[in-house]
Amino acid sequence: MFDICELCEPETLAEAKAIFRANPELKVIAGGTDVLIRMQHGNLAGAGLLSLRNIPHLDEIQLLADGTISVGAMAPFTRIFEHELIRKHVPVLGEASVSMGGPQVRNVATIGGNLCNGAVSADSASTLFALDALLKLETAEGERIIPMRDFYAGPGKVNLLPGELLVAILIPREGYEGMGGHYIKFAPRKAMDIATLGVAVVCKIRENRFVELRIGLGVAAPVPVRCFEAEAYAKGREVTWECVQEIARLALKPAKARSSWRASKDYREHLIEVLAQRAVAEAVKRGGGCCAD
Amino acid sequence: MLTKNAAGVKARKRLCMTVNGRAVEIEIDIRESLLDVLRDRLQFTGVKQGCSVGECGACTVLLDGTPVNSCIYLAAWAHGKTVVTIEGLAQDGKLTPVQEAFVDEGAIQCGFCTPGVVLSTTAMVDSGKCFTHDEVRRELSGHLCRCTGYQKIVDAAERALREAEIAADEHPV
Amino acid sequence: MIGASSPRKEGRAKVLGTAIYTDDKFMPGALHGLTVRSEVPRGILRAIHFGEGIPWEEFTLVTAADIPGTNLVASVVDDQPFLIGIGEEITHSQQAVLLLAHADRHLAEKARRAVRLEIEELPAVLDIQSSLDLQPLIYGADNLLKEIRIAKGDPDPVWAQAAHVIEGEYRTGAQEQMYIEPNAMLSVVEPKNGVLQVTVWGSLQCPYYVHGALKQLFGLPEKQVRVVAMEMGGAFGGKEDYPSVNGGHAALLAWKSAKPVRLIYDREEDLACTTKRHPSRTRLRTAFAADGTLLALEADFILDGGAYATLSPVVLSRGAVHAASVYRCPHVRIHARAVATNTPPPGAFRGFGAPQSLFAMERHMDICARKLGLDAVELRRKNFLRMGDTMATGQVIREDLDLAGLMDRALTAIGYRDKRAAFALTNPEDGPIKRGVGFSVFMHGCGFTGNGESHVASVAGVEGLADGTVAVLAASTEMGQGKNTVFAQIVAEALQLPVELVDTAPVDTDRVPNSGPTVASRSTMMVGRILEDAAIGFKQALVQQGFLAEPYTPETFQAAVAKAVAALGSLRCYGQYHRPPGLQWNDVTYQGDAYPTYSWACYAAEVAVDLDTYEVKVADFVAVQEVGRVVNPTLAAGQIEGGVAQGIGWGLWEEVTMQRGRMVNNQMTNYIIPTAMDLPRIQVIFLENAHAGGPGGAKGIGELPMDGPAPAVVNALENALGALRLDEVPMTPDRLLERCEEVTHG
Repeated sequence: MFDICELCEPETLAEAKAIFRANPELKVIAGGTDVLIRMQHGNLAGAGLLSLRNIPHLDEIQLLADGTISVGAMAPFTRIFEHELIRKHVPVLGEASVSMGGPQVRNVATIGGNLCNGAVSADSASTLFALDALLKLETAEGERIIPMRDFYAGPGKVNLLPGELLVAILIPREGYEGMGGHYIKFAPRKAMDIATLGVAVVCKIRENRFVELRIGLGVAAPVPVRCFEAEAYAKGREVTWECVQEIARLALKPAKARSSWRASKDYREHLIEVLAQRAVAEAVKRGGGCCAD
Repeated sequence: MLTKNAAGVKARKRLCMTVNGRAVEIEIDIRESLLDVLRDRLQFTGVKQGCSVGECGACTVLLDGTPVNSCIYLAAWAHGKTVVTIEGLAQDGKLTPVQEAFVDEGAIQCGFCTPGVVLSTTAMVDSGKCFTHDEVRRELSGHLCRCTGYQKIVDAAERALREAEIAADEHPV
Repeated sequence: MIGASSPRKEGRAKVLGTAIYTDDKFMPGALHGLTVRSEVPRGILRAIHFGEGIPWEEFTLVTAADIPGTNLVASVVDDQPFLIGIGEEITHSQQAVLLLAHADRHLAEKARRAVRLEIEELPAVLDIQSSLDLQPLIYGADNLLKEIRIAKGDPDPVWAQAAHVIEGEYRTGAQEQMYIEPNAMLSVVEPKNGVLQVTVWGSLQCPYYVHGALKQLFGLPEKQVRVVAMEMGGAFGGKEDYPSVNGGHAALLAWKSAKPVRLIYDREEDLACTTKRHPSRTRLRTAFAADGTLLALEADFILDGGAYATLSPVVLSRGAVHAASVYRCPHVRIHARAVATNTPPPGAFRGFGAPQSLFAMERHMDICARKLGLDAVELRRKNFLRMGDTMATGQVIREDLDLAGLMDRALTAIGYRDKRAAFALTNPEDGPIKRGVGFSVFMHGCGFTGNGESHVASVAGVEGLADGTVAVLAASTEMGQGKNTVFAQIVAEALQLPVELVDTAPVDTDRVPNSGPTVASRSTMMVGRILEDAAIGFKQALVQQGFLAEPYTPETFQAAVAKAVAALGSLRCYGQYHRPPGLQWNDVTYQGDAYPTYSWACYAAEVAVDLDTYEVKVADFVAVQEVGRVVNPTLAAGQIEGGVAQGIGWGLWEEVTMQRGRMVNNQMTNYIIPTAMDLPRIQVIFLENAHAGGPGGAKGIGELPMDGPAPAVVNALENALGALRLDEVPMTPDRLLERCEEVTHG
């Protein structure tokens, strides 16, 4: 039994927004695989829940007219991983999706919930950062579209206004087109674990030069971060092994690693560099480049 | 204890779902998990509680054919849905091919993870898809087993998939 | 029949979901029981404060003051209370102080959170060294729960003369059994025929241990206590002695409330407060001749025994006896101690002390080989025990032992020589992946150590049922190991019947005799042997009483049994354990036959280490063992595969993190066991060498697979990475990074 004081199950998005506007203290629940676990541990005691599960079309994955891929916030990770559009256009998001939890969790956990709980370990977060994704947020009054980097306010905190719901994740064409990408989730086991570190890389290669490189890190700092210095360094440079190594060294810059039971600070920093190198090398390969010496 | 909010939303709900092929209509407490309802109210004790946090997979049931951890699934969400527990597989005491495979391959030791794993394997077989050895291990990775080291469980799943493929070849739809 | 992979007796029920585990038992009107525990590792309990907002008058509450009989858990040493009373000393975090029960589980949880314990804290001992240093003194005169000395010959003169003396220190961490079914108890205490009857149904390995504990707790005679073993979702030793505690707690609540009680632990509580594998520290000193002959061995073997003795004396015993592993050594001194700390008492976990001491010795042998400039295989081969040799306790090897053959078999199966040669070429190259192969050779004593079996004097029997089938009467419990099936096969073989005609009586102390606990790799060999005798006696009774003529067919046998039961009302035949002639053990000098026999094994592991991430992957694993006779090949292989998985987990991933004397990573998310994606295929090979003392020649296998994997994996790590300080398990990536840096930074 969960310590819930009520469960609201609106059937339309409009209804949901209205309820949430009137009752901003409600806790939004999507797949429940985060909220309900937190409740088992005694958190969120006595919360009222606003469930989005009965609202149609919130889980759809579509290609919009302008080439943007829209992933409904309620799309479960299994759906994202298996979806043709994702496989074809944004396979790195599929990689991130299949890396979280285990099959039963992925069948229910949603990308929207994963982002909104604000956990820096969210496998989707660092990947969407690297994809320059936008988030479509709606209230009863209106909507706004913000970039990922404006979404995180601090560890476990996201910039949702009272009454605001995440409705869709938008990956613009420039975010994914012609890119090679790779997501590495580093965790103690090959399944079930929360990431000790997440590294997401997308890059565009032309004539074996970096046209563009984007690196998103999860669990390297209190919030997901982009490695802007490393990205700036790469722009225009020839893809060589030395270049990749330097990119990886620079990727460490925004990191503020902490020690925990999962890994010590030293180990984490070491991992960031090593895994950034690997992720970049693989993303380059998938982008049609080659970093032989 | 339970308070209604300003909107006057109630704490109990009428839940209509199909469990193991039978229509079920009960009034539930919105606080109940699907596991609570299946075990405590409907006496489907084949659904096991191992960890309560969606980690071990012992509570797995098929929801509209998809394996989910019932311990972190609100009972209310099963409204209008089809649930299959381990008790819903065998018909008139006749084991399904997946169940037979588990028995024959020695994939059962203490049996506590068995209902969940059998259901996930059933979902794999019913999907009609092909799975590599690594993919089989991945599909079963949401089930923790402490007794078997997974070896015979994977053997049983691969056997069930093979047998289903052969059966499909012999009786193409 | 013995040797056949008869299908698991209760397999059908398990795959149908109809097998009844403790929490599945329908008990209408039952209260939900919960336990309030100390979060302080040591102190004096001053008061229990009941918070506001809870209708306490609706609750059943039990404290130490309520206990009708003796507030001590019957065990090896009766030093552990069921509940701590006001003014008494809390000796470990998670110690039980108050029991509460209510019909509404949700409210009961809320109530538990509303209780505040007032404890005046005292300085606590939280590690082995502090305990040895008496900083402070917390138990007896010297913080020792148990001390054992084993002496053979005299090592002292040898150190100076030997060509090489090599020392090492090895540590192993605690390990959680992580049965998928948490500890669970149900109880009803009510008057029956004018006297109080205490009944407990539970997930428990040893119904008669719980029975004895309840008798003492309530001060009741044998017939007024009944314990029923339910289907068990795994145990591995974690439900060996702890059930006396939670069984007692459930019964106390049932007694006080006069209602049925369910005491079902959730995972977090189970991890934080129930028993674990003892952490260990072993210091070894070995003397070798120039040619690698082992001349002397000195072992200082220490276990962290937690706050009470519980099973530490016996775990220490087994660990001490196994400390010299499989080697011939003329001069041995083993000094074994279990020290007290203010932590939840450890207990039994598959292996029971042997994995700890064997890890040390098998790791040490590889290090010695390196330091001596000898091949690890040849160093072992030179020193293996053979028939006629004596072990550390003076036990003479009386069987035809071929450890070299066993080792060669395992090494061939994994491709040891070829792989070592190949890796020696590839490892020095650039690239982060380094590969290695390593192995361990070890044994596991079957049955209780020393005089244990004689003390228990197990009784088991065979009963005819009205339908002419036969039921096994034994207190042994099924926890997944296949006891139901194996016992049926043994009795079926003795009676020359198809196994379908033999089944197991419910394990209920009202119905079955005390055949001893389901532990110590004893069930097949010891209890199975008694059942063989009982079965033969049963048949003879049928013949002598004129119901059956020989030779017979299964049909005529079944008809005869049905007829006999109809005529006599019941027909049972019991057997009892008799120590085999020639076995002798002195518990004071620790000399003699520590075990009637041993199973022997060599395990080999191939690892791939990613030197960028320090992740270790076990790429291949071979388990070769000689177990006397394999009763059921499928079940036996399952035991080995599962044990190897647990051993690999212990070697690489499983770590109990303690803070303030309690486990803080007490969830399945942060105490991690391997998933299906983390383990390789395990190659299992059985060798047979029938042992006269076992049914059909069988020895024990339950614990054996736990002893070998950790040292094999860590030895493989050394092969992959070179001479690092690899002296501890779990060898997590963090620790591996640390050890690698030790070398680079001098």
